[in-house]
Amino acid sequence: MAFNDLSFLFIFFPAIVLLHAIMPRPGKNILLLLASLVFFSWGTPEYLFLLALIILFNYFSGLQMAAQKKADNPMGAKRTLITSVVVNVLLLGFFKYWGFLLENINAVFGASFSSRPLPMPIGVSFFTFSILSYLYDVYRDRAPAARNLLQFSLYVTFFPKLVSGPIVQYAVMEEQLKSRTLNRITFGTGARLFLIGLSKKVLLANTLGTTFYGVTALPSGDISVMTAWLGTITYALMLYFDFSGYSDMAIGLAQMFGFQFEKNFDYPYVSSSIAEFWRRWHISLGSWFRDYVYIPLGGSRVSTWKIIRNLLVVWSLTGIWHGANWNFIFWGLYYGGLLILEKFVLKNVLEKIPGFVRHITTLLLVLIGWVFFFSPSLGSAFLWLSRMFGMGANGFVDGTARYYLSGCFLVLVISVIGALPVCAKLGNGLLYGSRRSVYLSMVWYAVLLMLCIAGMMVSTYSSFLYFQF
Amino acid sequence: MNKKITTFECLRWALVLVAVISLVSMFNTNANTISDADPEAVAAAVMEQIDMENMLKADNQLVKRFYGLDPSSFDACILYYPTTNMMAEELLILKLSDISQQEAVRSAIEARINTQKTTFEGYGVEQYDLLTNHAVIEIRGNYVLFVVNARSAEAHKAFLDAL
Repeated sequence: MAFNDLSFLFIFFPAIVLLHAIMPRPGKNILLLLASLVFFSWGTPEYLFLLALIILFNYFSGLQMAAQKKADNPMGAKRTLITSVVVNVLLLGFFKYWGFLLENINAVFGASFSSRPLPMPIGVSFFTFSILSYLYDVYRDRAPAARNLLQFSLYVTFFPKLVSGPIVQYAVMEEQLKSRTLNRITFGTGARLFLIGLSKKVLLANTLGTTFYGVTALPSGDISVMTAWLGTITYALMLYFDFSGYSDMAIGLAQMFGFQFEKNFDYPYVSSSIAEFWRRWHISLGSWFRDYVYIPLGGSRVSTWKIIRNLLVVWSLTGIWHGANWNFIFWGLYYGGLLILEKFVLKNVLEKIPGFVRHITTLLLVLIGWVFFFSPSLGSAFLWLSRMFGMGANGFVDGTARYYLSGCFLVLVISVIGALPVCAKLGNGLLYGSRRSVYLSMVWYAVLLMLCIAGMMVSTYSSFLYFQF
Repeated sequence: MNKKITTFECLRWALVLVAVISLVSMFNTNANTISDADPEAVAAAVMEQIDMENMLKADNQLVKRFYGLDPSSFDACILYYPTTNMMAEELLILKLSDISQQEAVRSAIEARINTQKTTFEGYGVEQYDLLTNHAVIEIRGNYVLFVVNARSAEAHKAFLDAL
């Protein structure tokens, strides 16, 4: 079940909202936990028992670390942290990387190990990262060990953030799990954000997807330079609207139940450097790697070589987190390399370059990065890139490119404008500028909702791109 | 305090043990197990069981038109359709990239069957019978079979054996 599923929108979600509204305060967390378990079971019911074991294991790990610290046994607490992290990482690795590991062992040693990997439990990458942040924060006294099993279970499984984040730290949710404010304004703001996210997904990402999937299904010999660029640009916009749409929906949903989460995207395509791009794209994942890998490794307060090592470690992990595929590892290292260049080699040069050129260069590098992200293999990524730069392409522009461009031109223009902060500023001015604009905003959101429902009914279900990670 | 710590330690490792046992048992029994089988080999095994003489291999556009599904979102997508639209035979084999796609694929196939039934209802008695009594949808882990054929039971068995 996904947020853009009609059964979620018209059955599951309204039922939970209604029950949450009438439920007395002590029962609200129980209701949300049960709803989250149903949501989890919808995709992979066979893992419900395993999820319970994971929650209990980490709950006891937190309590054990707290007890060891209280008993003045820091070494014991460290051992508990390490064993807990190893268990969680092994479990994640088993589901995500077992097949990839065997495949590479077979390739390197000529062995023939075969694997029958199990399907991945939904949200395993995201809830494992939430748990790891909890364990480390308890160890570092940045968060208290959870005493209430119900609250801890809800922290791990809370359905708005379960499948694709945002990754929320326990310290952020702890107080809200105990007590939170829910009124008409927070509910309305959450509903608005949810609807904006749904519109991004259904009206923009899915429409852009038609062009992207059409273009990438073409034989590589028939692709002109313009077709290749069109495919890459539509993918960049589709991924942005798909994932930021999902994040908006998740944050909006959480808000409708009284939880406040930070934004996960902040107009990444306006960045003037790669470092800035990663401060604006999938913010919760970037923060996670900064707080739980980069800084513990020494961060930027170590020698230059160690900073380079730290950056490469973080970006290799970021790459492999996205999937068991050499493409993702290469994509991660590509960003690691760019950040090292930006930080140590080109820093002075970049400061002298006009802002406009920096924006264009950053965008170009990001687009090249997405080619590794969407291509099925490294070979096909380089083939696609060669077409983008004219090598082996079927001319600069051909009939196919014109056909696809004319088909998606309007949505492309809307998407480009929508990816800029100016769009939100103008929209907010128009919709909330005066008292009279209340009616305009009501009409606007009603129209958006109708369009989304129509879009969902005429097309078949389209999964969110980040579900695969 | 030490007793408390020891209790937590024992509980943690007992939970790990139970988790390992549950994973091992799932590994052996799970019907949703991911198969590494080559999609072309699976398709070949299925096609051996049915008459393919009047069937054509479809391109991605046709998959989209028939099912509203996007072939590029799957690891593999093989569709055969009849040479004439007076026939109801069909063969679809999908290798899903993620088992969360199962539900959507099942709905799409069921919608396709309903569309075909509406098309043939009234005048295509044989075709309607094929769609009603000889249409098989099998979703096993990351593999999907949809076959409409008089020998769909044999094709179904070949599909399961090939995974």
